[in-house]
Amino acid sequence: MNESICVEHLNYAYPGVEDTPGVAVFTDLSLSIEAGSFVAILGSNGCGKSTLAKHFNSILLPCGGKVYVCGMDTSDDDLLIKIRRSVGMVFQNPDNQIVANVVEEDVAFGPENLGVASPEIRRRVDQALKQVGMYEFRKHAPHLLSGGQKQRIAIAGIIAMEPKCIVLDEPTAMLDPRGRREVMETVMELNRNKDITVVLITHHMDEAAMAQRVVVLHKGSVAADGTPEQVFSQVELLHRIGLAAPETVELCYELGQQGIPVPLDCLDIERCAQAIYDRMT
Amino acid sequence: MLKDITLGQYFPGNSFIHRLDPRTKLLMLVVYIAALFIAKSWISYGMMLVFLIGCIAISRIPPKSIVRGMKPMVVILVFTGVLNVFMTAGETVWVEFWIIKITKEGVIRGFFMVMRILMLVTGTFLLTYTTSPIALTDGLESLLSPLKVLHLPVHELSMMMCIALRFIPTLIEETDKIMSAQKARGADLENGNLMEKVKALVPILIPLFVSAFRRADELATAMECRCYHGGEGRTKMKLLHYTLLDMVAFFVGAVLLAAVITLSVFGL
Amino acid sequence: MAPILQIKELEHTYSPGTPFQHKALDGVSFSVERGEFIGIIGHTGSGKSTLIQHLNGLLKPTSGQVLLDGVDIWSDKKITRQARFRVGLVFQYPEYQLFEETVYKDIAFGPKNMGLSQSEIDRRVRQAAGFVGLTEKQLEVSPFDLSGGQKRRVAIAGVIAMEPEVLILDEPTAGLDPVGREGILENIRAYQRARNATIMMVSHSMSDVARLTDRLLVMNGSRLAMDGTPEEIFVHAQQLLDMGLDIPDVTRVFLRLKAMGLDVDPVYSIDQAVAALKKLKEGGHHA
Repeated sequence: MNESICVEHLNYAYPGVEDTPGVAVFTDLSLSIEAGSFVAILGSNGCGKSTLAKHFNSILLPCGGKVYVCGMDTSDDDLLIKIRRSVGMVFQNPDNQIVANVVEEDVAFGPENLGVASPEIRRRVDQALKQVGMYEFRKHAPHLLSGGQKQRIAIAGIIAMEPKCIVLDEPTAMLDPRGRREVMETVMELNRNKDITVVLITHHMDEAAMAQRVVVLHKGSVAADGTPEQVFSQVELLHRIGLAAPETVELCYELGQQGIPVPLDCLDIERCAQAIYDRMT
Repeated sequence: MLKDITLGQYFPGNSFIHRLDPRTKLLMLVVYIAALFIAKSWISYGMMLVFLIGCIAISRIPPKSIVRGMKPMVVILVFTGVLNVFMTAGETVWVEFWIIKITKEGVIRGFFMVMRILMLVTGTFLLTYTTSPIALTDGLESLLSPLKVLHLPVHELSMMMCIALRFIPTLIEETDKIMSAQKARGADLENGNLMEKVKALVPILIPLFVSAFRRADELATAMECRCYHGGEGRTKMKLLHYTLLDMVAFFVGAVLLAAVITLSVFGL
Repeated sequence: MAPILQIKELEHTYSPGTPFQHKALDGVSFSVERGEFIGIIGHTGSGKSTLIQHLNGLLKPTSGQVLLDGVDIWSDKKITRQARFRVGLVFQYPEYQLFEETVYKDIAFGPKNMGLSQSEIDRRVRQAAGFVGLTEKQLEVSPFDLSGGQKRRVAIAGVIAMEPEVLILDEPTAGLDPVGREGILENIRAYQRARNATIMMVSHSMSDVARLTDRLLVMNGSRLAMDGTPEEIFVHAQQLLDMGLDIPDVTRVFLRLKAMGLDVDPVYSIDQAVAALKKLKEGGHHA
């Protein structure tokens, strides 16, 4: 089995208040995420990306269709804890997911809930903190740390549960550029070195460009799906649904519109500069 | 201003006192408070004071921060002192003016009362300054765990305390921010009569509550995601266990209490 | 005409005399002309939030002066209060300050505090709502029922309704998606054009700031490190990177092109980049 998350014909509507009808988010969404991959889910506000994330570990349950996580049906109540230890979640606001007021105690929270033995918790906490580069801050109070550091603590708290997959719901939306870089580097490293499946929900194009695969959601269905190069070269489609391509691609696209065609698959600075240079000389 | 509140502030360290088991420290605080209330004489107060100063010295907590934490207490201290000085009847009159009569006994009593409160608060500070709030709640949970038999939600209470301690600084910061934002919209928080002042709080309290509920909601989801399902089957990273240090502390505590009791029995 | 704001040798120290003492501003001086659109950039902790809270008298300088229309805003209590209204400040995540039952009442909070007449308040509320694209119908709903982006518009309208001569915004687009970002920036521009207001905007997004503003202030380590037009600032792209700032990707591409030997000047927007390359291409053909 090499599918980490499998969504089959998902149907979901937020329950309506009193007599009003609910708000349909998904009617028939299918998507599967390969184990060990790094997938970015991209979409404008209200496209359903956060709702989808909440299906990945049984915070929300499908109204129709199925969601499987590591082969487990998320609507099976008995599997709840097993599912949640397999799929860790990191949310947008770092302040609201840190439980304890000492860094290492917070990281220990997950394993403690799982009933892991004390010496093993100690080992996992130390390892997780080293993994995210926050070991030296283990005795600090979280509220005195920067946003990027807090978010790395939250990530450490998840990896201490040793999940197979981490879902990050706009983890950088409230961070400054430095914090965003710190978090993205941490996430990339987890995927590369620990073989953890990463699902990154974002509306930052440059972050999505770092993934192996980009899924664009629009109004509850998949509007584009493929490698970053494949997805971002569809500049017009992205504009139509209220998104933009990374600036490098936008530049190449605009040059093309002005009669200087440049290939649209140059995501990083180096390749973009090279492509333009080749065209200009 | 709001940021200067030192409620439940913990000074990390590695002193003898820092390394004591939180349960020991909690019990010692109880013993210490009991001794304070039994103590009646200069000698026993002096002994307690020496003990307290010794503890502060060993803990290496900067005395400045204890003094700063004391600031909000000034009104209560002055009130207690003045009340005791004026209200105590006595024979040796020092000052007599109109209906005010200050006696030697009154001054001594006032002094003792103020000292008692000062020492009580300082002792409590010493506990919270040297014990991480987590250790403190763990200690409380462990000490109170016999009450689980009576179906008291001991784990839930300690979890609540832990979360409250975690979010106090965050909410204080948030209050500061909301106050600034409303002041920028011309909210006047300083002037006006009592009614107006209370009304002026609305634009601060509502956003604060809304935000606290939002945080609580998000935190609950995050905790669920981290497999929180109550105290059952939960383990701890740091197990509490008494060491030789704790034995020493208990011994010192026992000696102190015994000495104070003995002194008071002999009327000293 | 005299500059609307003059900042002279501004210095601010937090918690003086405690172990937490921290100098957040040090010798900051600049002046702001009427109608200017100024961007303030700098990484977290560089002093930009402290700076903007001095401009409307929320914080009192440890030393130095803030002159509004040539008058020190701390010279008199009344003048300090006036400064709050004349210099409008929109905080980061302003939607968290909403509190009234309806959007209308929330926007009216500022004007009401100014002691304006009922009809003037009404005019201002409706006009401010118009600037940020709120409909008549939305004025009567509870602000808590709106989406995140709409809440932010309400909060911005709440400050705009005071009709400040200087409007300062701290990261008005933080956390919004590209469409939401563009919408808010368009609202701000509309207000500037309509009132010839002075705008100061703090942002982490270099490309937004560079594209919109006439002038940039770069804060670094509690000091004003650079002050100039975007063109002037982006000549020092490498220094900006060294300060831990994010420069736009187009700027990076152009730095790289220059290093590769193309004769290009620094740019910071796609339009500029395209224009520069087109010119180079045509020039190349002629040569």
